Amino acid sequence: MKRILHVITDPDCPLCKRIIDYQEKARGAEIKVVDLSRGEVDYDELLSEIFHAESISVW
Amino acid sequence: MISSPARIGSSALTSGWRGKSPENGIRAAENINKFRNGFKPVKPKVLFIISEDPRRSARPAEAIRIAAGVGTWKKVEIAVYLRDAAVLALSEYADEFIDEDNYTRYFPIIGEWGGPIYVQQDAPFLRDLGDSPLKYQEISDEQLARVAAESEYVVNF
Repeated sequence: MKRILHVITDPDCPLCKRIIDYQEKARGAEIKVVDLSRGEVDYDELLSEIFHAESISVW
Repeated sequence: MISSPARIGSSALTSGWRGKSPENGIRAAENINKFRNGFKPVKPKVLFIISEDPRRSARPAEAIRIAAGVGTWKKVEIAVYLRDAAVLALSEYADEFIDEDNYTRYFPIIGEWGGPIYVQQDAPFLRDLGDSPLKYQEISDEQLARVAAESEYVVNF
């Protein structure tokens, strides 16, 4: 299953929410969302997620 | 007869097959030629999503410039998706856009490569667009989600 990572920098992003919803409903991929606008971010973990993902979307 | 290194490699690969089955040998040689002549490595896909108004923001112009610059190296496949007021970037007349040169210089290059230009389906600004010199395809949000999932990199401007 394809791993898709969404990195959110803008919390008010209606389009990214719609896209993530569609991708989750399609169930063809493993979706991971990292919201950089919310609190502390573990950048080591983020880096690891980036290297594990096959598709990365930055919003 | 002097053989090129490629020819030597080819006969060495196929000679082992010939002793066992001539048909297999021929098929193997055909496959090798197909591989040499037709094999193209799959390039990563980069999708540029542009939503800001080209009349009020320099970001759409910068996105187009980056897309053309990255695609020039032929290492990736570029796709562009325009949403909301960014749809106007397809207009024939870029005079009122910020950094208008980027549209006239770089957007046609993306079109020439065959990189798809997608547009938000039923975007209200499509009515104001008039004739566009560039070919584009309207897609729904669901289709955009699929295109994004098939892309290795998605960047949002």
